[in-house]
Amino acid sequence: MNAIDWIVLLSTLLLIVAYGTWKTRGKKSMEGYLLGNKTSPWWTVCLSIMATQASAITFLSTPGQAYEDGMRFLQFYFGLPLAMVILSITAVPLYHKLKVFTAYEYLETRFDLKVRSLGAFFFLMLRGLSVGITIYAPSLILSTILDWNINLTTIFIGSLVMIYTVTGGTKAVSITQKYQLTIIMGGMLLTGFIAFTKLPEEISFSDTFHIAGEMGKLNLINLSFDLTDRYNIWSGLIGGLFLFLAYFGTDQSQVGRYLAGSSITESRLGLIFNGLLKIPMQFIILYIGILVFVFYQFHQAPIFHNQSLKDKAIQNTEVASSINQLQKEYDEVFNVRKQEVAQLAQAISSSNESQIQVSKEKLKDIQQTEKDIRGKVKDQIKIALPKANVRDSDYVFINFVMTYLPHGIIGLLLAIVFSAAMSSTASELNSLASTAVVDIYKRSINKTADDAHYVKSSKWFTAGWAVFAMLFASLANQAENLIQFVNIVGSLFYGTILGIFISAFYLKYLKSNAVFIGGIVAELLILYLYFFQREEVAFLLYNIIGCVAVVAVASVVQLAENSLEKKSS
Amino acid sequence: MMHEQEKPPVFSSWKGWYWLVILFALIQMIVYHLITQSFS
Repeated sequence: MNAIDWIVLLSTLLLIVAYGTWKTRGKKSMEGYLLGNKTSPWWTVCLSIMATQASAITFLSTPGQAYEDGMRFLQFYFGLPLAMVILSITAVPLYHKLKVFTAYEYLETRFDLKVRSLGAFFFLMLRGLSVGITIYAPSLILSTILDWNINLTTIFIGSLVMIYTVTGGTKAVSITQKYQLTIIMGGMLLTGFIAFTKLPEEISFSDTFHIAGEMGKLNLINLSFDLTDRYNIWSGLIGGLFLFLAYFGTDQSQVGRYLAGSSITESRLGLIFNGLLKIPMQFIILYIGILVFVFYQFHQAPIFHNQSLKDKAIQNTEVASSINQLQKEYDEVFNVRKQEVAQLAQAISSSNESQIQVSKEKLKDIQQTEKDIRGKVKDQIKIALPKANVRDSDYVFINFVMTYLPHGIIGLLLAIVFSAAMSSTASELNSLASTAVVDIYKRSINKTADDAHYVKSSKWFTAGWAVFAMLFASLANQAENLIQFVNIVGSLFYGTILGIFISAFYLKYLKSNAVFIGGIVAELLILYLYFFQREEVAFLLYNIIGCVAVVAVASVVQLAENSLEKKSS
Repeated sequence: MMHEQEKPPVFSSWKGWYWLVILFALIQMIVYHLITQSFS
């Protein structure tokens, strides 16, 4: 980075923070602080929903995922559009009609305080654990790339978010998210365009599809029905549907976004447009990873994308000579590959099918050779640094940005990563504070204070959760497996929460005791599956299992209660 | 389904929007399947 990059990065971030804080200055009521006075139009709701879901890891990891594994990750989102329709029909009018601040308030209306508290507790566990990682994961990558102290990076992101989220509440979150998401998408498209312009002149945009396709990266749809496979159309449609129903219907970090809509129409349209835009947006982000992949067919890719970690490893002299030797082999293989890719490109443009097949086979072998060399490099890094995480796909995109993009644009792309982290964190902090104040503090601890007191409490809770998130991120630094953990923590809780809400919405025969017991038993079952049966079931299916378990156990308990009542009467 | 008093823009009822979302998703899946088949 040079001075231009710093100016672009800092001015982008500070402008957004300052604008968000200034625009939402002034005294607020509870409704103003937690729901933005319900004045948001549909497009603000939509942008806010999308910005909340897309964290920094989306933009750092997703292109890297396409680079390594192809585009099949897109199937993960196929259940989302139907989930938006179902929620527009059911949840939106109900939440608006009841004038709730949080999704869990509804549970008390339907059941009783203990079910509400259980739902709120599960949410606070889920979001409380993940908010630290929302800051930690991008901090880790940024601090590695930029050689910053990770704790300072964490504090920098957390403090910026805290400033406008504490002072401005929900409205500040929504306003800043509009600009953050615009910058994010603009910057991503610019990166993709720059990657494309750096390809040889004779390679057209459609050629990138052909090259990527022939090299196995356009594996968008997998029709095979395999419960252990995370990315096929069925796990996406079925598992994804349940996950997104739970996430958008019961997670306060999303419910709070569309409850800020000025009417049922605005909230619904926000969800509907999310349903229309999400899959194309993910396609674009994945395809940017593909463009980086195609770019690296004509330019030497790093042997290990996390350069900083590799540099640390080669301080061990024994490992250094092995890695240097592997680098020489890798360079030789690249020269062969470059020629073969040029032949493939020529064969594609002249529609020479036999040559395409020949080149494809050769490139398959070359890719395997490269994979083996990279595997050996990772082994060497592990020898030098036994605790190191050698999965480097998260660094593919950021490494490309730092190496090949012009100065100024680098600063902008880094601003994007920070913006994405901040936008998700802000929603999470806001929702944690809302639930803590409305569902726990005001409902059970201090029931008779005035509105101004609860607004002040909301600010303190927001700040408190921000400090917790930064502390947790610092502790997470000690155990890198937490990044892995947070990827599944959603599925550990969402199924149960969704089951409670489905019981509330649709299963009128279920009463509070039955659902309360069902919730606890279902959660214990999911935790059992996670700790003792992890290999047998893909994580996405935890959402269905948890949901079904709540309903099944609650139904049995309700039947037992009904028959006991009959006997006693 | 809750009784709805708010009419949506563009379509005469909300069903229009719901079908739009579902159909657009289906069209995309078909297009992505064709891409997978054609370019692999």
